[in-house]
Amino acid sequence: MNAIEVRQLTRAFAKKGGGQISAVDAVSLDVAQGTVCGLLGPDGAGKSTLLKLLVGHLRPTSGSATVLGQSVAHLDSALWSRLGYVSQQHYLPAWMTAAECLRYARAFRPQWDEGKVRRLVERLELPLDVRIRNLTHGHYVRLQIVLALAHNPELILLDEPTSGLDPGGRHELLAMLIEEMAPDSGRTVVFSSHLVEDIERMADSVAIMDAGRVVTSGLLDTVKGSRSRVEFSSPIPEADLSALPGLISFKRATTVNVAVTSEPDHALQYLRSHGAADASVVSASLEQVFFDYVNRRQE
Amino acid sequence: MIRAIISKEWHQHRSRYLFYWIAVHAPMLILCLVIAFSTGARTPFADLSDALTMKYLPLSLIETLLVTTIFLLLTAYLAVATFGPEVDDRSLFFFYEQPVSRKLYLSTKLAYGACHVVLANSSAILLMPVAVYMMMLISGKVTSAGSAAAFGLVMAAAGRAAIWCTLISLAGFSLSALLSALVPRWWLAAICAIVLMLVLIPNVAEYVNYLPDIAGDSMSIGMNVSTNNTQWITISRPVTNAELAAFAPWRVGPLFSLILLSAACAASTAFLYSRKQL
Repeated sequence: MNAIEVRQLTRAFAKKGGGQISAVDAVSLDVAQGTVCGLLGPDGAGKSTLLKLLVGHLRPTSGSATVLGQSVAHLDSALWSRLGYVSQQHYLPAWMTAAECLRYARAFRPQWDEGKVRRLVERLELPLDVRIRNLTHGHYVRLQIVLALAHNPELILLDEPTSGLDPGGRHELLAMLIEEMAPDSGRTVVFSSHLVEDIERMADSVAIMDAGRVVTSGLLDTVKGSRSRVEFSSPIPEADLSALPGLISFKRATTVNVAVTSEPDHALQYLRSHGAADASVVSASLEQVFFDYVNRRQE
Repeated sequence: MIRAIISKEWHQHRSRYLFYWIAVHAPMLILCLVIAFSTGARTPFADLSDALTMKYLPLSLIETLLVTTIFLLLTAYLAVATFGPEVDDRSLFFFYEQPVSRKLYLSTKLAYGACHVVLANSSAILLMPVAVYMMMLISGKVTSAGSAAAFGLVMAAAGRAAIWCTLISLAGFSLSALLSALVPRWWLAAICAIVLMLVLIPNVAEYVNYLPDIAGDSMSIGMNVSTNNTQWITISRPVTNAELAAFAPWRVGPLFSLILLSAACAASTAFLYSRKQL
């Protein structure tokens, strides 16, 4: 069963000079219940817009999506008791203290876990008596995370939670999130980031977004396996290379040539038959796959 | 849930609401202070007696004029300040992220603000004659037995005027709240709301006119405030019972229009704010 189902979802904004630009362009995506899905993409890829559409903070231009069985076009406010959301934007009420903010949110959620809140506040060293406007970015994010986790929601949407954090803070936050999202919790998590390392550490499945579109999605290993790097040092004429089976991109480095292909076995065979006896398949990292998808569009 | 929203509203806007309450009660407070500390200010009461209660006591109804003119501008500002800043700093979306319907949240906000407007204005209008009457009684020149009827008439007029004025204020409040949903920056919306009130006050005054028709030359009120002056306020003659009874009469059309306008603006405000996007 899917916690999130997105079908041809589009959100267009008016451009300054006239016309429209699609921040999310005909996106289709399924997120299975109880999994951690990483939304990976460069800045401006449409990850935040997609998450805002899923929580009802934006209305779609076209297409449809359901979150925990509810259509985002008619989102019931009661859904927020099953949902936790960490936004990249700062919009917690600046005039409240962190404690007041938590108290306010608690008033609406009978399932609020005060013990968990105390534990998280202590672990994240969150200052409760400081006004939100005076919180550092790190503390602000931590408060958002406490708010998102306090009521043990079924679905958590995290929009670049580690963005802007120092390496120590990022590491600690990710470790905490991984603990909270233990596989046996049955919780579904959608985690957006432009940091491949974060996605690789947390996600079971990944959707790579670029220019408002989901360019590929699936289980982490499947996505990684969709691209293979074939490395060889022997010089091969350009004309022969263009016929390499499944060729996606080719880069000539000083000592080694790298061909990215979707058919590694055939490519290997082909290269060897064309004189590249040292050709070998190297499994691609998610980062390489990500850059391949993103760079291909830019080219 | 509603209690949490109200408590949050109070914490968020308490200084604004406190200022509003003090401002609308300021005429009464100033009057009490001036009379308490300045002998010159007490001069108009020099000829005070049971028979002349009706000469001075109706002056306390001046508060109704203030509520529907100067303080209406303050009401407009209050309405915009209740809603606008939450959109400007986007904190509205944090409140939308609670499992309570957007419409309920917005209705509670509107109702809470409207309650302050209604209570502050009606209390200012009703307390003014009470305060003035108390001062008259304390002076010893007026007896409760001899002036009770006049006080009753003035209070009845103040009661009717309180309904008129609170409905006018409510319409101003909800109209300004609606404006705050339409104008992008809250400070800009506040300026627009105040300008709108300035335009509406003279133009709508004819329609919602609740003042009695008193021939201009039959009564005059003069004011000359100075320390050397012996009489700060001069009134040519007392208000007649008939004139007081004609003050703020029940006129279904304008009263109903004000209720309708308030309800329509409040509903539109809630609708527009509930459609806001991040």
